[in-house]
Amino acid sequence: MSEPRDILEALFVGDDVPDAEVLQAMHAGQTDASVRALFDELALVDRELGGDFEARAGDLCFFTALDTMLAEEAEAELQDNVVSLESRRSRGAVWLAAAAVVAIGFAGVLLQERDPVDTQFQPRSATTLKPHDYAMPAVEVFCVQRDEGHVEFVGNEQSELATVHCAIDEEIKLAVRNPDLRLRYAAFVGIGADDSLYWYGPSPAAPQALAIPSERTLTPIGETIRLDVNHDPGTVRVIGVFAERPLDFADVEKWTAANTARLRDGNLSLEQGVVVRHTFEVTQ
Amino acid sequence: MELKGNPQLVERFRRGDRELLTELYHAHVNEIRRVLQGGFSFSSRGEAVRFRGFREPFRLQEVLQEVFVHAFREKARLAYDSEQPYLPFLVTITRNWVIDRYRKERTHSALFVGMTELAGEGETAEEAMNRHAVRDDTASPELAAYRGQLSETLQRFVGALDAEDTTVLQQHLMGELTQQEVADVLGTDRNGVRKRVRLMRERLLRHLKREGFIGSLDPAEVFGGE
Repeated sequence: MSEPRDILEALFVGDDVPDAEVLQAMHAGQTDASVRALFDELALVDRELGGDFEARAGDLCFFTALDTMLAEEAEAELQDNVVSLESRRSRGAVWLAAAAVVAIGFAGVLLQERDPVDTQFQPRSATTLKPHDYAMPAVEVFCVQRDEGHVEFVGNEQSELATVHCAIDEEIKLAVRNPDLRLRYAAFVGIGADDSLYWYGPSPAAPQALAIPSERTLTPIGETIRLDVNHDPGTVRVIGVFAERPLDFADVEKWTAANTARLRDGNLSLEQGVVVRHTFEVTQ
Repeated sequence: MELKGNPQLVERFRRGDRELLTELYHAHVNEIRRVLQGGFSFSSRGEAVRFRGFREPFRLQEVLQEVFVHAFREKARLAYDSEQPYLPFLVTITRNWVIDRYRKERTHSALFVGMTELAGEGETAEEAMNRHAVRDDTASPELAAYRGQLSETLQRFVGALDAEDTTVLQQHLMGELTQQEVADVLGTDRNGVRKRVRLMRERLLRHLKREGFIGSLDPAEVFGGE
């Protein structure tokens, strides 16, 4: 992904800049004075030329905020409905009790993933966007099988087994599906059967934050990872942390240390981001 | 687009129909931008105050976003009187949003100024308020100077353009002709004009960088440090 300044310049020139990148630049402008100044400079020039530089960026930010606001209202309405069903049950309508259980269970599923537990990753600035309404991203693991110059990627869809099995002498490749424009960065950690940690990215060797594309389809990211370097046979849980702000290795290491106990049981959540999981098997 | 007298639109508006909210935004965003950019006068606890307007483009788009989200919240949607036109209601919300911030954040003094400071010799605050009731789009001296430099820079750029680019710039970008109309003038197609505009803006960006115009802006100096 491009730097915010490059994105703004491309937008000014009239290039076809993806919405996600425009949003990325505008987010950066909330905290980076040089990005704001560049936006202001280009906007003043653009006004003289009668262009739509400001409108394009502003409209995009507004519609993202509008979607968030409408989603909040919808969520509040859902919670109101749950309360309403509970109160009617107390008046003796037995059949409503079952409906209430279903409704509460449904709301519980929705709210479970939204319950902010961890506060390690706070936004750098105030923003109108709320963490509750992300379109859910996903991470998947593909085995990279090489055979006489032929390379095949085997993921869940290609595998005959419920979980992808990769031989220890193979490599893996991570792929993400990220439909939410706001989630522009991610970090991936593997947890082995013996609680070994594998830093898939950022890593000690490449500690910089990992920018991810906004795509509704699975998109490969990063380098392939050789399993025989440090993996042992057994189940590996892959934790994918998708966030609005950059997460470098120090951030991920700190967050992982603070959540060690919860990495295995999967009860993880995040302010200004989403945590997802995926499992694969390493075989001899 | 007008909600008044259209029960179906009002029902969709109150329900928070995204498509309708999008149409309303597009219909009124320019007027609200003018209000927020140009400023206005108001009274607060007996004091006549001039809101100078948001001059920084980045801050302006942030505030526009906040005002429209505020105006489209359920509480505001339900408060709208469908017997009245929508735009004045929206402008009132916008003004109240600004005034509310004035009361909460009086430290943002660069945005607001007491009318007594704007009053001319022998003029009362009320008289100054009436004088400023007509929209004041005049720029600060710093911003005016900045625009002057920009104008000179643009003139040098225009001076180096060939005849066709000059036509595109003057008649389309800075003029009234559409891309298709300019294409007809030049005997080309719309796509050709579009490519020419893109290349011209790319060259303009390089020109502005060469002249030190991009990368030299001190917002606090030019916009008065919001």
